[in-house]
Amino acid sequence: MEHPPTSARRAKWLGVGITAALLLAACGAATPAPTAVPAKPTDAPKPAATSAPAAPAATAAPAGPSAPVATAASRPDLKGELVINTWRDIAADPKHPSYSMYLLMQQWAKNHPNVKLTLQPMLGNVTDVFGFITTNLRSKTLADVVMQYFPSPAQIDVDLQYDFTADLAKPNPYSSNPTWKDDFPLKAVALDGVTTGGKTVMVGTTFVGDLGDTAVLYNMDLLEKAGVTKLPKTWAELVDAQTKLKAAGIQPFFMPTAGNEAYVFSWYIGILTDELMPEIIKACDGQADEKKDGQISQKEATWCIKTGKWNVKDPGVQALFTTFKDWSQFFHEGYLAPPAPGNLFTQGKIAFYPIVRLNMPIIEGDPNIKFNWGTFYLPALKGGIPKRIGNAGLGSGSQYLFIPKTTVEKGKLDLALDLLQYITSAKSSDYWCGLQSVPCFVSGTPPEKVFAGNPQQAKRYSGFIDPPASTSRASFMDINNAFAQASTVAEIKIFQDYLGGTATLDQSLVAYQKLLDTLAETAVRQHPEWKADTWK
Amino acid sequence: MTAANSKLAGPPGPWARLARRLWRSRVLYLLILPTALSLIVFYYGPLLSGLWHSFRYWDLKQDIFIGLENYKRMFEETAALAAWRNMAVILLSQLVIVSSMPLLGALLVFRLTGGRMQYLWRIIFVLPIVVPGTVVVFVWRWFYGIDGGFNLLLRAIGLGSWTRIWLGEISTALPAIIAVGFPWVAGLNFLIYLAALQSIPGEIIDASKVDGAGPIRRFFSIELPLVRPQIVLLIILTFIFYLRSFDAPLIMTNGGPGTAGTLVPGLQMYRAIRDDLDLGYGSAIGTVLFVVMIALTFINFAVRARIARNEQNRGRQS
Amino acid sequence: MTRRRFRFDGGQAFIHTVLVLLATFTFVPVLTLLALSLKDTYQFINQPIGLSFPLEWKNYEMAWAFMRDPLAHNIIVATAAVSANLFMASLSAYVFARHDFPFRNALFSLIGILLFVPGTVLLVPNYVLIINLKVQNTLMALILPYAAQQVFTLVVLRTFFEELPQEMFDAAKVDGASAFQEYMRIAIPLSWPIISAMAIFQVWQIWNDYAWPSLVANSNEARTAVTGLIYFNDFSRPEPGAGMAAAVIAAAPMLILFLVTMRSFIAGLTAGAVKG
Repeated sequence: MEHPPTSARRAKWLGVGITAALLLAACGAATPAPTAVPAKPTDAPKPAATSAPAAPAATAAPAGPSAPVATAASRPDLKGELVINTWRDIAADPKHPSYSMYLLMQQWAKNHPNVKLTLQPMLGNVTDVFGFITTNLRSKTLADVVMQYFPSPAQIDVDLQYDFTADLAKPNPYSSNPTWKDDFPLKAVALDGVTTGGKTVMVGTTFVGDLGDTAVLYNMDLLEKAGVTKLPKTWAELVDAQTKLKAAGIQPFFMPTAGNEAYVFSWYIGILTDELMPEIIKACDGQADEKKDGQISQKEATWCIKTGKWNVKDPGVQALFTTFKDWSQFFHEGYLAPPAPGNLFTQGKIAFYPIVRLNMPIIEGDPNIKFNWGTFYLPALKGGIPKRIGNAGLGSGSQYLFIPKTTVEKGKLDLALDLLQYITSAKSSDYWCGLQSVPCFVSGTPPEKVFAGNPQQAKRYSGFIDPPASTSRASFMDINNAFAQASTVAEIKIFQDYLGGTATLDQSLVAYQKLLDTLAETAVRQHPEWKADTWK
Repeated sequence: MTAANSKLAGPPGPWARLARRLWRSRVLYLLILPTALSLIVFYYGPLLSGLWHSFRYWDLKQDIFIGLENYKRMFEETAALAAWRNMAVILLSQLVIVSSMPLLGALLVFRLTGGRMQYLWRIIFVLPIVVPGTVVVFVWRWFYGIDGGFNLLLRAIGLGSWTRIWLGEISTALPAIIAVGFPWVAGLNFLIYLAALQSIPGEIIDASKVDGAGPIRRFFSIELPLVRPQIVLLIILTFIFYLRSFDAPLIMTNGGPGTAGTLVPGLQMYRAIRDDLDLGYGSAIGTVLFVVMIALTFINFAVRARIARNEQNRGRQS
Repeated sequence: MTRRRFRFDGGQAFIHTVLVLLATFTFVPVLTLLALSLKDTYQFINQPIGLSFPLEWKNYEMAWAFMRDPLAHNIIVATAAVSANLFMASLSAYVFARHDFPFRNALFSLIGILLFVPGTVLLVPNYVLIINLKVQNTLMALILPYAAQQVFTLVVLRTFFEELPQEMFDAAKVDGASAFQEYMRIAIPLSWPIISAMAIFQVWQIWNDYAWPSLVANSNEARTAVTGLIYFNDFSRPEPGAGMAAAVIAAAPMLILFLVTMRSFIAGLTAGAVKG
């Protein structure tokens, strides 16, 4: 072996190449690259032909008030860098309701030229984003500010998040109201859900007609084909309509129990729980030193389970299961499996399709929809005013921002606080309202008045507005709202077993009780300050 | 020799000898240090940490001792037991598959006359290795959809009544996942079998042909025994792989339909981490998987040792 | 003589028939994937079988816009991790094989038994480790663990090094080379084919891994090809054809790698498997 074989020479060059790649990787891998404002849209383009209009005034709503000019007067020396985790990419779609939040941030950045504002979208499905927030909150690796929707107890932690209580009692530099708290609409009811143990750890906005509202889309053409001439106003009419649809060979109701949209199923668990278990809710509201406000928090729910009030032996819980079973005959084909690609409603294959207002732009912008459609709200199971799940603008505001305590430790509290005070000032709220396709309105206003002069919009958004939320908010005594988002998956699977016939009612109830107990146990472990062993 | 005496002249004690040898080899220890560090940080450390935390409630913020509660939960939850059962079904099916179909394919190719033909078919059946497993699962997921490949095919040939929601029904979901990869011929297993067959010395085969052995008899008396080590190897590798793999249940059905239609322990653990941040429970599942693996390995070794010993005895007796 | 040939032809024809059948079933899924990736939404829903014209190349544009970064990440991760991995493993394998030092066999057994530890067992603690190192959602979360998975390579390489004849190393010893120099000058060049095979095998494993990246690197800055594929399809809800195109893009680099290195890979794997 006098001279190295050709393979060795090849090896040398490969070695050089590999070393180069290693160096490149070491440089590139060390620093994650946050997307700078404005963020490049990384979601796939929606099927709608939204060649995005540049100016926000091009949306359906009339051009509202211009963005409040952020003065640097309040904290003139602000400089530094601020990174914000946002719920998905809020800069991607100018037609999307969250774009207004992006514009407000832009405006603030423009008026604080010494501060570099960077957005880091949190991507994924709902479970992914919630999981991201919870995990990184605990491992202290979140950005400086976090903007999210629908906070659940898993994202609320007084040990790890900044407490705004003191600042709320003082004036907001960007507003003329006596205190910052006065800036929040509807008597700051949005702050209720994020206040625990007397500490408010998030600031949020809520408006009637807010993004978290839910409603049900209907395809009028399909309904008429089946002989249904008007929208059902009672549960009996709903069953009748679905029966007629099924007889006509049309899929009646979209109810996914698997895949990314299974949260729809959890809405109806929440709604039906309210209608079927009012005594349990009344017994548990206000317990364990919580406020008696018609809303069940995680602490109250845990108390409820631990003291045995919320128990599967209650006929209300059994009725929950059997109601779904009866209803399941009208669910779309293959509701137990992950949904196929594409949207059944836009394809004109299904009559009723639940939707959250956040997703309305997808339907509105789809050029393939040629049929007559609108939204309405499902009637109550037992008559009376149906319960509204989802934000409904009364107490569970959808858009929230919080400051992880790590930001305070980094010395950036004043930057973050200033930004939040700007975004939630009264003028900013007006501006935000002016940009929405459903303008902010007083609860109880009929749709025709909200969309004066635009009957098409009134029909399309009717389900979010009527019946009014002020009279009928759900109590949220359901696993989805009282506990971590991900437990919903476990809960829905139990229902899947029952609806699919794999488990009997008794087996399902046993499994459900186990789930409740496990959730309560975990919650107690997470909150030693509750002193749960003193309960009952 | 005591330590006190070691200062005096005389042969060094055993500890001192050892110390001297260690010192002489210090460069060698340095050279294997990177590997050692990697393995300690990413294997031994986690192994011990997993075992330790299986007795605790751990969610990144808190770390409390709770005794055997995680293990109790594992055996009380109906979903947990179903998960182990599903994994056993998958394992056994895959063991049967791996020891039959690729071998059949390799055998057929091996029996072809003409090296060019063999080479061509080898490429054809090895090429599918290229496609990542996730992509395969992804495509099969489409095939199993309501309007996916299978149902369309059934409708096209008039068997519309046989269409199912393959991934949505409890009776078909698990078989559907096992069936992914049909006909299970192509891939790494095929390659290994073929290589083993091709390394059988030509004289043995020619001799058997002269003896008049037909193709089937040739298989059982010559090829099969000589390929047996590969079969065993692939069984072990397949076993190790499927004991922990859960990509298909995760991507195709997320463990459904229902609580445990296609749930496997690995997926339970994954969900415990990603969805619930219930890390103690996840550690408990991992520990049980580990114990099962070790137990089965021991059994495997013991059985093989016993077989080898029997063969030796028989050899000695004859 | 003619009768014999006829019988052989009949047997061969049978074999060919069965093989063609098996091959067809094997390739139908992949071909379907390719066909679906070129359909627009209407064709996808209404004419799913077979190729439909005109071909919708736009699907690839849409898929590429999303998959470009995950592909780049995967390439970086694979290159960095495999290089580090092979360097450490081959060095250690060489030391274990050709040098004696106290506790050598004991240490090697400690390494060997790790072959039987299923990766899932380590999922939870490794996840927490990544979070504690604050590298979650960065490429390092992938590179570090992959670089540490040296056990299989180490065992294979050690066997290889052991079987090399001593004369090859004697020349270097006479020169007074240190262990490391012996390694660089002799061991590496000799073992290059098998190291290449191991490298390709590891790249293949890394490319195929879904569970671990989806757990620790599921963000825009760090997503890998297969994770990106599933994410793109399940979350972005793109045109179905674009979703399929993303799958093709995810698989393409592996195809290229294999076409380029097929011989060396097959040789390495078969040698290892037949000996093992």
